[in-house]
Amino acid sequence: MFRFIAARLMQTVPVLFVVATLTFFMVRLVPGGPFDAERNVPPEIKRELEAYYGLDKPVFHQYLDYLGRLLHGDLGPSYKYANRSVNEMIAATFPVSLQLGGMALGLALIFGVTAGIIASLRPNSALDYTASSISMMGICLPTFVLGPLFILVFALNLRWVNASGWFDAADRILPAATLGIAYAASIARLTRGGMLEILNQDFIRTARAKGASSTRIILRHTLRGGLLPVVSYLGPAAAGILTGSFVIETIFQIPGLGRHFVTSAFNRDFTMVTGIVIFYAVLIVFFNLLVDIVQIWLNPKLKF
Amino acid sequence: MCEPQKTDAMPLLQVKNLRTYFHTRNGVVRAVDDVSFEIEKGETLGIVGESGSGKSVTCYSLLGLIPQPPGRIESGEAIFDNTDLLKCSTAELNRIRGKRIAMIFQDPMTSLNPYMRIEDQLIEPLLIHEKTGRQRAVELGVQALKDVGIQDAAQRIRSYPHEFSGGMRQRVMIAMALITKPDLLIADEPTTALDVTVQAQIIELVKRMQAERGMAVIWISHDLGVVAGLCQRVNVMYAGRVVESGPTTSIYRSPKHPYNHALQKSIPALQPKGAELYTIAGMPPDLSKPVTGCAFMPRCEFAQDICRAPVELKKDGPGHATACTRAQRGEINL
Amino acid sequence: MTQSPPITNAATTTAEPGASLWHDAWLRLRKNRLAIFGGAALIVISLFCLIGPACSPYTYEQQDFSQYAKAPSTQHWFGTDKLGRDQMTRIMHGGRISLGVGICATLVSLTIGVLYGALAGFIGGKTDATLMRIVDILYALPFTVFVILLMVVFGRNIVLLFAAIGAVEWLTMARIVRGQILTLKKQEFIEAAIALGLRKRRIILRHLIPNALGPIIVYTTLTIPAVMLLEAFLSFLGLGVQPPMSSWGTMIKDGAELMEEFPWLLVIPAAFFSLTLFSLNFLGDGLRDALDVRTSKD
Repeated sequence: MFRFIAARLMQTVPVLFVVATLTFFMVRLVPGGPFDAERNVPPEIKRELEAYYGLDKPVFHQYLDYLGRLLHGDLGPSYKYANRSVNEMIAATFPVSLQLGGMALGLALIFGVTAGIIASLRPNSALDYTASSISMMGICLPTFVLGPLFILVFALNLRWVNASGWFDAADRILPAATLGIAYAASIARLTRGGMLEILNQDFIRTARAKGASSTRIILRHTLRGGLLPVVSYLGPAAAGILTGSFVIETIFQIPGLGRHFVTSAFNRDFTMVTGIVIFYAVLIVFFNLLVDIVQIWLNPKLKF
Repeated sequence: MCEPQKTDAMPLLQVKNLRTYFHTRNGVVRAVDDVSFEIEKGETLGIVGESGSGKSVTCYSLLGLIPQPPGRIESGEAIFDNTDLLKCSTAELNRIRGKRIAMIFQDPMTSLNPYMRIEDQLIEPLLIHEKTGRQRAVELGVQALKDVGIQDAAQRIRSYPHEFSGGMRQRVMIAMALITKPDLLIADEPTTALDVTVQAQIIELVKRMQAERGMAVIWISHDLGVVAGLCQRVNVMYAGRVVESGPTTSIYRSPKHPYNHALQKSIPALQPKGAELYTIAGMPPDLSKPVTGCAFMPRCEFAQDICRAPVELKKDGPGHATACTRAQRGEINL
Repeated sequence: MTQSPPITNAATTTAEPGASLWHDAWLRLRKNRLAIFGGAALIVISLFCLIGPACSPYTYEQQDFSQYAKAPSTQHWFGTDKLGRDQMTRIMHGGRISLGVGICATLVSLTIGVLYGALAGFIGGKTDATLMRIVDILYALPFTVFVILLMVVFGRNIVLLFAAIGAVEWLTMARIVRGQILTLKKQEFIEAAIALGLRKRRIILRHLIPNALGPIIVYTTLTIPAVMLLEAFLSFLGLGVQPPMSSWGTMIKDGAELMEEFPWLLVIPAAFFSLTLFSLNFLGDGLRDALDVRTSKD
């Protein structure tokens, strides 16, 4: 187990190195420096700025500096807000996004798995078709369509919740639901498929021949194998929820990292954008590692 | 046994006029069509027939293991200890399956749950039926594994099925089936998927367990040789019906039904060396088309027009019955 | 022990003529009402977007301030936006962009994915392992973020947009093609073809490609909606298609800003966009069932 985790952690090093290198040079490919766009900057101030950010050194030198700082977990200063570092910005905004994403993923799992199990118990019944159609709708109605529609209905017409903001618990419901709904739908489909696949196996017949009740068969014999597809989907789902948060945080005006990332992209705040990209990559890589561990724990055929 | 014996005259299990049909898109498949048989306490009954003859479906019907839909039990009764298994609710069946009637299956590779430890699967019948405490159940489980000849049972009980070979898994299946000391064991081709040497070990194991515990066994197989060595009585099935039934010796020595006769002739080991291999011409009938009369007729060398008339299994000797009109009339002598 | 009697086997395999695979698939697809509905809706929407502008009395940029943000009427069936532009004409043009980006980016991803997957599958061995390990690693990365980065760095250019999206969406295709090639390589008829001394090119052209085609078609159909979604997502954030061009994604974005007063500006483009995604997904699912394609991870 420890060896497995250690080996996987070793594998993430080259991945993160590639990500860092790619983003660094991609940004350097931009014609002109980051301060060229701002017309009012006098040349001497520009020079000072470039010196402050180390842009006067050769590119390769800058690259080594950057990597060196990365090793210490330092993502550098923001181009846009000279007095704030990327680390500070992430520390200030990420908790909000984490809460939003965690709630969305939690909701998606609870509703998706429940709906999927119910659908799998009576395949091809009216209930199954209803659940499947609703999931298809969840998959095809993207967040940026659902979000505004939900605001229109629940906030502006029914006035149940606020249209935007992130102050009290009620403010969390609509964004988390909007973000989670598509994943709930996918999870429901995967759960249904996984459960049905297991329920058709010979060993379920063995369990029935042993006199196990339906509840016992679902909980003890089917769930573990049936949820494997859902677990392997959690990696992509987390990545999706992460990018989904860009839209949700923009629509609902939530002060999270996603919205901050989009704003930085618009402002061409390159250090901020690269810093956040690297941060996201680390996040996803570690989440995937977590998913792999859960998968191995669930599936005895996979060895450490 | 813990149950009081009701009447000695009653067989352990009596199946009457069982019909199991599958309602598929291509029509109604009459997988089991009017099958009746009985089995006494402690007896071993063999059911032989080729693939699709309905031998497995018969036994699955008894335990409510037919996937419904498309399967449906159309008629019949199966009296086991004054209870009609076919009329039981799932909850009632769950009190019988795994406790008084246990089953082992054809493919030990797929019949054990790969996601559960052997331990949890093995002791499950005890937990379900006998409310045994977990610790005690594990002790019994280890003993059960020892009984079926698994070394290091106390360690191996913690393994997962994929860490066992096919023969070992079938031993686990047997241990699991017998852990509640059932009255009847249904064995659905338990040796088909195994190597020949392992086959013999498993058969010996079942024989030994049966001798120790005095349970009845229904042994389903397409292998006439296995059945001959194991069973006291044999039902020969063809196209969803029992065509001949009787004591093992008379089934093998003096077959009355032309199908059984042909089967015996097609066992190479029983024929003189150098003789040309005998095969039954033609193919089994399509069970989705209704068959009136004898289903074997199109392939039977003795067929006459009279065979188109409906035919029933009729007694024609001590414990022996045949479903062949011409044999019943004494017109053919095999 | 005696041997079992030779029991006759009912299943005889008959050689099927080449066309019958597709014919069977079509028969199965025809029974799937949702897939047929999806296909029909796609044809209608495509025709609407392609031919529609020619029949419309308005152009998509023609402003008419006397018609400021009017609700749907007989004059403007889908209403007008706040510049007084006819929304129906704009939806037609937006659809051209959305579908166009969807198809072009899918072609990019198809090309990369098929080449990469086929390469890995054919060469096999260590090369295959390395190539697929790269795919695994790439799978683990938040790709949308990279597309955003690309759009930020290189400016918001439509050609770059679908190149970027296509470059991101090829991973699944590569896996599927490789998986297909690997299974096919192992199958008897390929071995038979090799044993018969057929040339490599002939084996590839006559055997491998026709057999791998089913899954490729299915996943192409399913990639288009994924790509359209990504495009709309970027456009919604303001990082995709730039004005004066507009896709359904940008129209949804503009509509969302004004939805309180003029809900039709959000609802109508959203409906078109969702209906198209629905149709493509249903058609893709239907094709997958009809062609009996299964996703395999290895």
